[in-house]
Amino acid sequence: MSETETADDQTYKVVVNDEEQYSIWPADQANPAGWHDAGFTGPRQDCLAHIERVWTDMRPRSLREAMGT
Amino acid sequence: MTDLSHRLARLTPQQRAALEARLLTSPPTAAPIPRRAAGAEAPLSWAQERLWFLQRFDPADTAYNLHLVERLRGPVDVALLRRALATVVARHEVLRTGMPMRDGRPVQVVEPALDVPVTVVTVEGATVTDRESRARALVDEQVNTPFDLSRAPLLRVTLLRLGEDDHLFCLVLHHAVGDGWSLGLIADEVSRGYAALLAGADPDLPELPVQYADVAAWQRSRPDDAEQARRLDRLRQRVAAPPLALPTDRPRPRVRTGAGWAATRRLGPALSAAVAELARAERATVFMTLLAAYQVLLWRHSGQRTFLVGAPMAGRDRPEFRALVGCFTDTVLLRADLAGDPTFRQLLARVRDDALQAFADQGVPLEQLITHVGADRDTSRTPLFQAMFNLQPAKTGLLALPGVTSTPWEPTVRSVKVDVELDVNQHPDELEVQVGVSAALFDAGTAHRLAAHLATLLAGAVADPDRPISRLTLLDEAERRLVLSVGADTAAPYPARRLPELVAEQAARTPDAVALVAGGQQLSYRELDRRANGLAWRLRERGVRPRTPVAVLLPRDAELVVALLAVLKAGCHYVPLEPGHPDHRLREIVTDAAVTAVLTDDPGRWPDRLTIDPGRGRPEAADAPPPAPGGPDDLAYLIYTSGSTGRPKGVRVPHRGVVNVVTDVARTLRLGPTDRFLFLTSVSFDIAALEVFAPLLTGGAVVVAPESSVHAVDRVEELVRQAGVTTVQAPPSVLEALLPRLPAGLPRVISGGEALPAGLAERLLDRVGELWNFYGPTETTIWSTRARIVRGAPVTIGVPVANTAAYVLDERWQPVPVGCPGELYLAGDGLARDYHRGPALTAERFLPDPYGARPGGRMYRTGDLVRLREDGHLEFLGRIDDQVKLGGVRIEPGEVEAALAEHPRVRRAVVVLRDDLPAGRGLVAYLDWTGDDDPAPTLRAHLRARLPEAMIPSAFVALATFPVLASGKLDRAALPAPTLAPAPAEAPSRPPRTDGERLVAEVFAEVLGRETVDADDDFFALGGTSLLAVRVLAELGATTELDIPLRTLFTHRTVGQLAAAVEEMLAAELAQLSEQEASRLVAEGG
Repeated sequence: MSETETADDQTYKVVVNDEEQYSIWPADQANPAGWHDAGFTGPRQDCLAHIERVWTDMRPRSLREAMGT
Repeated sequence: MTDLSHRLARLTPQQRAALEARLLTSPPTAAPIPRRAAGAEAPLSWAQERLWFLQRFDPADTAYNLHLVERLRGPVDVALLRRALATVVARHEVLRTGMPMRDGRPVQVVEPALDVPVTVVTVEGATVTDRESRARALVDEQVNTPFDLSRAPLLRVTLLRLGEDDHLFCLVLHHAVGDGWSLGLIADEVSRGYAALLAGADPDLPELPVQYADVAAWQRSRPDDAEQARRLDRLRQRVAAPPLALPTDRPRPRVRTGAGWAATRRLGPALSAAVAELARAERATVFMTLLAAYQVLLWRHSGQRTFLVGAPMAGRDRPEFRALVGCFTDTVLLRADLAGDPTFRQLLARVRDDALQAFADQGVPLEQLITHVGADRDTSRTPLFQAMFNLQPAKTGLLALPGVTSTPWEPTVRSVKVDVELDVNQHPDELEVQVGVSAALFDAGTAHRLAAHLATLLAGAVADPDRPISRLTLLDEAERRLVLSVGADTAAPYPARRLPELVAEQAARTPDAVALVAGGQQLSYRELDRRANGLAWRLRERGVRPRTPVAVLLPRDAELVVALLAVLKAGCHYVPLEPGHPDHRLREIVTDAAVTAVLTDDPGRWPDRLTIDPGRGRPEAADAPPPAPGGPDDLAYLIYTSGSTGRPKGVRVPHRGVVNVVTDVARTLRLGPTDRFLFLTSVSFDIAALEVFAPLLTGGAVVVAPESSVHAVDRVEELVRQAGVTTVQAPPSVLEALLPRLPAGLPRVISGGEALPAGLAERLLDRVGELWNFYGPTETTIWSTRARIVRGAPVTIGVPVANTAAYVLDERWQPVPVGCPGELYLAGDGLARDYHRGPALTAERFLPDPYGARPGGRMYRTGDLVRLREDGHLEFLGRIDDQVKLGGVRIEPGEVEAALAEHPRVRRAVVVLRDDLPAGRGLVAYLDWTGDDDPAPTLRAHLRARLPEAMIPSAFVALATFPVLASGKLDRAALPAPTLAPAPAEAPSRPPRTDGERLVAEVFAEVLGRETVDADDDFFALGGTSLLAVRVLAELGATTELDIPLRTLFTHRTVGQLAAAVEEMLAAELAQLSEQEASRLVAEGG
């Protein structure tokens, strides 16, 4: 896998699902069902850094709503 | 080469075709080939020598049998056919040639006159179908029967009579005396002779200028000129590539065989036309376009971007060769270069440049090149190249007998020349691909899949040549659905509730049943439930709010189980800590998890934390737990695993995943009220949760081991016997230690956490009722796949647990074909929620699931290398990061370990790749070895008889104990570097001692032209070649009157080893003699 990871010059996008869980996906591929663009595109590490900043409450949305906070 | 391609690009198609024709047939040399004295013996041509050697090496091999099989409809005069054939045999000396040995070397001996019989067989059978299948069997037998090259003729002809005017003509010829071109010549000359005879005339064929043996003698007498030396140099660079190591379905045998199977597939007119169109547009040929696709196919299966493909070429570059029957074909070596993910169009340009260069460098016979680069020592693979490619016009009827219609007839070929062969037949309106694979390495299904992948890949490439080759799809819809469906049908119900509610329900059903056995203590379900309720209330009273993490740091007794359950009853999730772990690690976890309380029997250790000691204070028991909100998606635990970075990472797991896997395991293993599950694993590992909750959710009992894993070895036998344990779960390294102490008849053992060696599995099966192999990362909750291991069947990690999908994907998250290694991704109800305080890490490892039915679903990237077997089971290959590549060859350490474990003195073997050896990178075998001697010589010889050279470790280290982690798993990082062992070359020389050694040493010295040879000298290291090997064995055979198989010298390379093997054969021979013969021999002093 090291061959790939060092050569990973793909562009990714930050995606989010309805539970407001974040992940990344190749920018040139359609999102899998139930995932939406979160408005950030870039190299893998940049996408992950972005997620580290914005995903502050990691509780799934349904749980957060159940907890009423 | 770039310059060359520019110039080529400017050529018109016609100019280009003319150039390629010229490149393929260099201009004739002026000097004529001299004729030798009539009937004189001649040396073998280079090509014959190679074939002769191969036949000698494996006399059963039929890979070089050529055939001409045609259905003849119409009247056939058998007598005339015989006479016509006799004329052809009389004309071509090579058809009357045998290749016996003279003074340890093969020679061509031409029989002055020889009758090649035409055997006529009347095919009997009540129905047409019967006759057809009988005919097929007869032809297959003819085609798949080996030749003895020492005796002429090396062809056999059979005429099968299926009816009055219905025959099958079957001519089989060994490649050493002919080639594809020769078959055409023979058919043509037989037809012309037959027609002449039928018309009452004599066959009239022009005189042959030379005979094949003349060509061979001329070829072998040509001096190596400067041009030849330059070619050899260029070829030496060309062939510097690692062997192609396709993932095999079975371990590669030490010595290869020629047995094979094949699959055929037609590409259809549309795709075939598109291939030709792309070739034209790119100024390439169909050959090059197909080769490019073949290279992509081999890369995608092997992961290798550099390898060689051999392609046969006619080799009839002088006009006088064209009328000769004989073996003229040579092999062009084409070098794949797939670096940098080119588009298919770019790759095609590379292939074109390489092919033109390869054709230009042609002219060095393959055998000469093999000898030159010393590539003939690995008996497990063919030298230089392991893949072949051939494009040829589809067969048409070649026999033209008056009044007879002839059509080609395909026998079933059961041989293969290399690991994988691609033959493409050009029919008038479409291409037909035939993929042949070694039967020793691959299932027949693999040949079918390779053919299908090539078709799919080609279709994608011609449709979009500007797509990078990594994006070309191999799988058609059917196979894609198949590989993505692993686990698609695992849906099974489980209670959508939290763990403590399910335990409470069980307690309500069987309040008096034993729930827990710890030391001398037993707790009933009622007692367990009430005590956990009480402790949960105490947590609440101390201010611990629901949905917060609570650390549990307790010794292994009943209180530990009560505490885990109590934390859950309070609506919290537990953070389990192992008391044996270093203080700083415990503090690191407690801080990172931000626990709201620590349940501990040593509160003084945590002055800055809220602590609760469950064993102290008022007696606790309550009928009901405190009210707690939440459901199955609330967290059950937060468990820390060692990350690759060394910093532990917290994995947060909801109740849903635990309930799902516990329900699945309980159902699959049929766990029930009579079962007692040993709680052996340290609580800090997630699999401990199975040991606690599987029994508690099914009415059985938890038996708490007072120590965890390996530390409990001495207590296990007693525990199992006294407490009536029925189920033990442990990693293989712990099971290895437990094995001698497991009472025979233990109903169930679950192995998991690391790869289960086949040898250990067999030994476990001797003692236990059922053996299960489980696999799963913490991130997908305890276990994600499982397999019941049965004797004799391969050890796999099986199929996914309920409500879990498993995908085997490549780097671009595309499914890989059946049988190919890929990374395992898991999806479904077992997925952890996230990494605690790790949004980026969570996003990186928990990816959108593009294949699941549930929108917004995630899949976890395991980092484990697996492959999907044809039977739908997953096979674990190792960590992606640990992939071992040595000298460009992918090596499975597990395979080496398995071969080592076959040695009776090896109790356990671990093989790792190390970078810190004196010679750089190499494999090191760590052994539990019985005896005090150095295992290296014994095991090296043991492995040489079983494994390819590249897989033999460079060092063998005997260990008294294997270092283990707290989990009981092997601590690979702590394996010691091997101390510098004296290299074999530096070992003091040892003169031959026994009679056998002296004899072998003498023969080695004579054949190699050396003064002396020592007992430990390796034949090939001293410059031995495959042909010299033949001489060695011929001489040894003459002296000992033994028929020593050629391969013996390849598996026993030193004087000492070969002498031992020969002595063994002599002893075996003697044992077979009758008493009388033996006493006569002894009397003669033999």
